[in-house]
Amino acid sequence: MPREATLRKYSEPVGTAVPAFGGGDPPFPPKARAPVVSNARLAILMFIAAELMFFAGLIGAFIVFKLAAPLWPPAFQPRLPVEVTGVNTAILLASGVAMHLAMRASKRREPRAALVRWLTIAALLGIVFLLVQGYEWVRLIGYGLTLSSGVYGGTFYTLIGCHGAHVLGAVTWLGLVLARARSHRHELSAETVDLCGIYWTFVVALWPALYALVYL
Amino acid sequence: MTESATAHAAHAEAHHELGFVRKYLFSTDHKMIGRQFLFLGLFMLIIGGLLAMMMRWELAWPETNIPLMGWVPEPYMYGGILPPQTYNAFFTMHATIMIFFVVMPIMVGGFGNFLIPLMIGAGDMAFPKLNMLSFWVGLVSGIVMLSSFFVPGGPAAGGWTSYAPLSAQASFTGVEWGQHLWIISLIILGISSLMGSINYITTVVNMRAPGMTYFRMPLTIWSLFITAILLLLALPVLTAALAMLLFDRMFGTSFFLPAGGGEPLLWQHLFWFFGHPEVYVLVLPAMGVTSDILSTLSRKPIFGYHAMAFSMIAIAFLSWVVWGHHMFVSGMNPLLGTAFMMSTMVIAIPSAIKTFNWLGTLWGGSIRFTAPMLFALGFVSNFVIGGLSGIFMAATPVDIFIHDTYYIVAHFHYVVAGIIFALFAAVYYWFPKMFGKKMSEPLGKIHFILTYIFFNLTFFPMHILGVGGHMRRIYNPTQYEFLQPLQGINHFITISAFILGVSQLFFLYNFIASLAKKRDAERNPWHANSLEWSAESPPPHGNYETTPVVYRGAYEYSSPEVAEDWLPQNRQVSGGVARAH
Amino acid sequence: MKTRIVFQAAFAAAVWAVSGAAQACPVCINGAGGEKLLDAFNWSVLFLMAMPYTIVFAVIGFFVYAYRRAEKKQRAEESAVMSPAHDLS
Ligand code: HEM
Repeated sequence: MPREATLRKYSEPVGTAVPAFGGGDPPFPPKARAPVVSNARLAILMFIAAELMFFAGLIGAFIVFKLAAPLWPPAFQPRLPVEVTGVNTAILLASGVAMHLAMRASKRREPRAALVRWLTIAALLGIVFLLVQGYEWVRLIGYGLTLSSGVYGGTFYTLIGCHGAHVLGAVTWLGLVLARARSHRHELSAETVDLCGIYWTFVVALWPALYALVYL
Repeated sequence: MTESATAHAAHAEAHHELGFVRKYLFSTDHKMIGRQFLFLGLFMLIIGGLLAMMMRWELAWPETNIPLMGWVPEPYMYGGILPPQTYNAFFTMHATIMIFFVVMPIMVGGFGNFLIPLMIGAGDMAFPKLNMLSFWVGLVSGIVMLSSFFVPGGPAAGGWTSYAPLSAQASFTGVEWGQHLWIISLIILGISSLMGSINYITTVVNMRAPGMTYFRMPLTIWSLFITAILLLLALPVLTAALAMLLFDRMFGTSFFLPAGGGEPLLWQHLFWFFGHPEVYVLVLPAMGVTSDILSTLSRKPIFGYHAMAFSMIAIAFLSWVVWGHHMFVSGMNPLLGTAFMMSTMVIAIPSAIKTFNWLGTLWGGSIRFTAPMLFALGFVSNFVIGGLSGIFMAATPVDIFIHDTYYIVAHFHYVVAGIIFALFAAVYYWFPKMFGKKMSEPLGKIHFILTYIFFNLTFFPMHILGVGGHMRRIYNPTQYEFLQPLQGINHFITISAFILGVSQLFFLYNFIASLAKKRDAERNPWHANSLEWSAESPPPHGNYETTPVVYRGAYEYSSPEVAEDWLPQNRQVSGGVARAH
Repeated sequence: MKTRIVFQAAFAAAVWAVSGAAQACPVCINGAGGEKLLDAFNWSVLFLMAMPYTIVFAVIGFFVYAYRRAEKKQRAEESAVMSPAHDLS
């Protein structure tokens, strides 16, 4: 038997529908096509996936403590400010809406002013959220809830603190985008706004879940 | 004028010379970054190996002077005598370095960076700057890890798994800053690896050459792609756990400390969520590389390409469930319990599929026993031995007996240290492409024979030690009466390990001497099909003169369509028997 | 023959069912902290385990959606290019 035929025989199980040798007959000529999801968008999605897993780790730990505790919050520990933070949640969600409008404005190529307006509103609402959070933290520390007051304080500050750090990062990023949008010297591509917007959406959307888990 | 001027400008653009710093240090070229990772990993391999040698000395001749180590200052060693806490630190650092700074940087960082763009026909990674950053952040992490040898109290000593609460309080191991630095280093490494995996995934998804469909990608690329996904999703959980551990140690939280209401088991919960996928992160690239080398050097198509790709995907999917089985405890719904058990057993199947497909690839091939081929075969055989000893441990009664003995040490060295075989295979195989020079074959063969023999002489007797009851992580086996008859085996293992260590000098010499040579490698020394071999050796900045167009999968060896026994992916065959020029 | 296979299968299943008691798991926490702790761990396991699948399927779903959209757009463009030619004939 010729060498080729022998080798073909060994190469793949007989009767498979799948073409041999790891690939079928090529569609001639092979076409180059533009990526469906651009590099930067894909990268930010992957980054968010990793971030989600990071929070999942923290939440996984939190679940263990919360469900195993006989009493949660534990006795002699201050209660968390449910109402104020509820309002704050609304503020953050509103900033998410503003961001969404900004993304829409940039996608529809509306005048710069609209974009700048929505971005500014989103950034301001984000900052308000951070300030309220900071103020509440200061009060909680005043009541004696610190990192070292058991797992209650520990999980609270790490989980909420990590989210706060992410909001801070997102606000900074937004600030940079905003500065570019305001200065007319720069071209501003829809993607620049979009990337920041996607990340902002992630940070905003994560919060209600954390709020429900930690505060309620 | 304009036309020639632009042509000239384009020419200058392609050939402009970069300064030393841009070219060799802060390079954004994926090939240079790949080489940098390779060098980093090889350097760390030497350190990890020397630590192993010292541990072996201690186990064979406990509490005697280790030769040449008299210079180490007092609390760490006493005139070359290893005290127990240093032994603990050594096995911790040995494992940490081998896993995080040898296998991961070389297989994922080094070959991942070097091969992904080349094999899919891209000019570079999707984000070259991010790529460069990934290496430099990784290097910082390595430096932080090594610097822990020089802080008071020595390096981390809680085992590479750093189980809490042992690791959560400095007073338990007597190591303060060593453990801090261990944690910080791994957090930094997590960032580096995050940047790397984002880059890999984006590149594979978006930058494939025309015609390079997913199911025409070489299996190396498949393995690296899946590895990147596993790393992307697993490492952040480790980062979260490490951050909590660091808080426990430095800021007075008590996540893992029972005294403050913490839960030590939480560490294992989170660690093994990362740990199980991590095992596959280590082994998948080795499997991918082996598949490509076996196929090329037996001049046969890989047996069951789709089965190979899908088995890797299956491993990726199952690796998240396996861990659940370890953590799930009583009170579990029996149905769920059975599902977990099944998944744990099922994950052995993809690995078995791969092994049989490797054998099927070899069957009837005209095998070229070159250095890369030999090492790839060595990987397969070690993997089979490691896999089989793993089956013993899956049987509960056996596991109770051999749990935490040298049987385990033997088992995981056959698997993880077996990866080193695939690593060497990859270095021998791609060296011509990486550096444009060929490594010496005779030296490679000697290296293989010595490594293979003494690897087995080192690790195989450990099975016997384990069944004899020799515990893992002990400092002085002669303290136990029942282990004294086994001390002869310990001597034997240690001597084999030393010869194994010395054999690596053949590799080191070969590597360095080949680097110092003049360029002598042609484009396609192995007559392989995948795209990287159609570029120059080493490929210039930008890799390809023109973007390659892909017509078929990477494994058309001995195809009847052409007279040669290889048919590159980017060669168009139009009717009849074509000839390569 | 058939009964024998059935019997063997039943035996294997029985052994499996009973052997649970002998399963040694390195991270066994039976009885360490009571029912509540076990429950808490189990929920945490379920949560963590669901995460990677959720993310991966979400991303795959998004990709399928994006490809479909791109294809539809391309087809629309192609037919837009085609129609004048048809008019000519
Ligand atoms: C030169 C060959 C090697 C030798 C002679 C060697 C030897 C040893 C020894 C003596 C131990 C300590 C066992 C104990 O006290 O319990 C050990 C542990 C270990 N080694 Fe290796 N090793 C080698 C290569 C590797 C490689 C290449 C890897 C991984 C890529 C590796 C991974 C590990 C791990 C994970 C441990 C467990 C550490 C722990 O218990 O925390 N080793 N090795």
